[in-house]
Amino acid sequence: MPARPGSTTNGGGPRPVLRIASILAVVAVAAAAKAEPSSRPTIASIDLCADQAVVALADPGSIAGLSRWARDVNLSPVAPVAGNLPSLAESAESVLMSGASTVVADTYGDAKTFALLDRIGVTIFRMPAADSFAEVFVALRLIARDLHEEAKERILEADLSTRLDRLQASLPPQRPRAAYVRADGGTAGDGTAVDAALAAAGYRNLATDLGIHGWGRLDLETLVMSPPDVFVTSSFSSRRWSLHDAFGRHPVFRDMEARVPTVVVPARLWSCGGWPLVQAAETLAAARREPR
Amino acid sequence: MNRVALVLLLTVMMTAFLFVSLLVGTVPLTAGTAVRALFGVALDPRHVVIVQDIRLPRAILGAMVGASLGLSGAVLQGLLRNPLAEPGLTGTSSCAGLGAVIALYFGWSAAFPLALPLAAMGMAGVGTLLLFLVAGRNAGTLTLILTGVALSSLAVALTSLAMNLSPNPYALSEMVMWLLGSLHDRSFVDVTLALPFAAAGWLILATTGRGLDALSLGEETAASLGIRVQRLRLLAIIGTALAVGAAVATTGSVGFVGLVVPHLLRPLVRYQPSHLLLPSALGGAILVVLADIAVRVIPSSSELMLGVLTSLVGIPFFLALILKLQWSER
Repeated sequence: MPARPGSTTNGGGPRPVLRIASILAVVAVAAAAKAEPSSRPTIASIDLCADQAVVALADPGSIAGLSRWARDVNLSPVAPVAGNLPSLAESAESVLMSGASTVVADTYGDAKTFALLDRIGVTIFRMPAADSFAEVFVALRLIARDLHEEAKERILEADLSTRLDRLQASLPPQRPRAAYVRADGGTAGDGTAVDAALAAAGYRNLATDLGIHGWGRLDLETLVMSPPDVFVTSSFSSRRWSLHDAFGRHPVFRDMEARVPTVVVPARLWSCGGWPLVQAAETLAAARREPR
Repeated sequence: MNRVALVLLLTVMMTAFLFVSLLVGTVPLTAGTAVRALFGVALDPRHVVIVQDIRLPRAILGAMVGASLGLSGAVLQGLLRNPLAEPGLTGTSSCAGLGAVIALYFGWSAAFPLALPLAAMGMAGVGTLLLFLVAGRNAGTLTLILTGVALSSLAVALTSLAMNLSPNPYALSEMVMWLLGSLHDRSFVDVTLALPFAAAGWLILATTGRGLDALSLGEETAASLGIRVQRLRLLAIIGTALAVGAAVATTGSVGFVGLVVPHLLRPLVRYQPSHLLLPSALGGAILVVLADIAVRVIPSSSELMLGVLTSLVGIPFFLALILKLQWSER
């Protein structure tokens, strides 16, 4: 069952951590050996979601740079390897200076930047947003095709699928009701990566039960009437006291938070709908198996 | 209308709207349930939490904010002898917001909670003082409004700058909060933080009545009647800073309350500034509590901002007042 309040569950069991580390270790070794002139770095990522795909799929020596968020340990699952790679601003100038001929980006971002990059002859691959595990795989396959790394993608996808299957098989039968909350009262309903991870870990998502689609807000009164069995949060405490966060400061919420167990999922695991989402689900599932 | 009757009527109206405010929320409660919950004897303990801890502080804070804005508007209008003076238009609210944001984002309020209202009140005071220094004592409407616009643009720009310099990923939505105001999810923590300062501001503003009456006859006449105009001005600035600063620190800036309310009530008190003060405070409380009921009742994907409604009500008044002033100046 979920951890007691105060004691927070961070990072899941040792196995998934090893997995993420092994994916990254290969990249790190190769990145360190990047100085060899054999392969010229040609691929750049300019946002958080693309960073994850590029690090997992591209040949490490071919990475010309990652986004400026890649080194942020709170947001980026590839932070351990990002330190060895150039950090790029979200601008045509920095892409140009990195020498990259290919840019991977998500579907957001400044259209003007992409138009400019296009004009100077840089190939742009846009990664579709993924709000479910199926969509994570679709996005990975697309980028793998663009980068000609299909074989690597198949290995990664097989590994992720196996982990998801194993997760499914290990779940206790009961389905606790979980409420994902941010300090500002924001939550994630149906059709979000958070909802997908909660479902994979065998939770019922309170927000989805309340009919919230996409990113929405949890209402304090509704929460009082139907309290969750578990709160799920990410990087709650790193936020400063602000007017925006009246929800998280409200005594009614604080009181509930003190009574209901909280599972902390590191924000980097679901800052994007990408392959680390599997580890988010594993973290959530691990919290269910911990003794009270 | 008789002055006592007016105050009584407004008090009854305010109490009624405060009660209605306890009935409004996402969880439907009947009046009977809400009353029992208010006194802590509801059958369902969750209803007690909803009424006592979620809706009641919100209603009280709304009344406090409205009273502060209405009263400040009435005093500023009397002091500047201009019906367009109002904490929002004079830049006082924006300056208070700037102070609060500085206290929030540079971590002062985390170390010392009172830093928030104190910084808001400090900046509100600085803003009002600047307005007086630039626009002067007998400011024409144009000078007053332009100075207010300048001050408020400066404060908004600096607020935005402070937010961009601070590590805040939600700077944009937070900015909207400061510009348009909201009572969403406010609690007794906010009430206890702001109410003592706001109440002190009200008391100070309440002492300006006689001076404002004398001032309506002209500055020299007021002086000849024994009014120390400098002292009066200082009291008004301090009182406004306390009341508006405390309100904005917890709610963000809610516009036009200080304009609409005194304007509506002035004919009912026969244009006497001192008689306008208490009714304006009550009227301001009614307007904000009513607006806060409306933001919860109007169906929308996310709750409307309080300032959206008060501006929708206030701006037609503002334009009508400008037209009226233009006619009278011809």
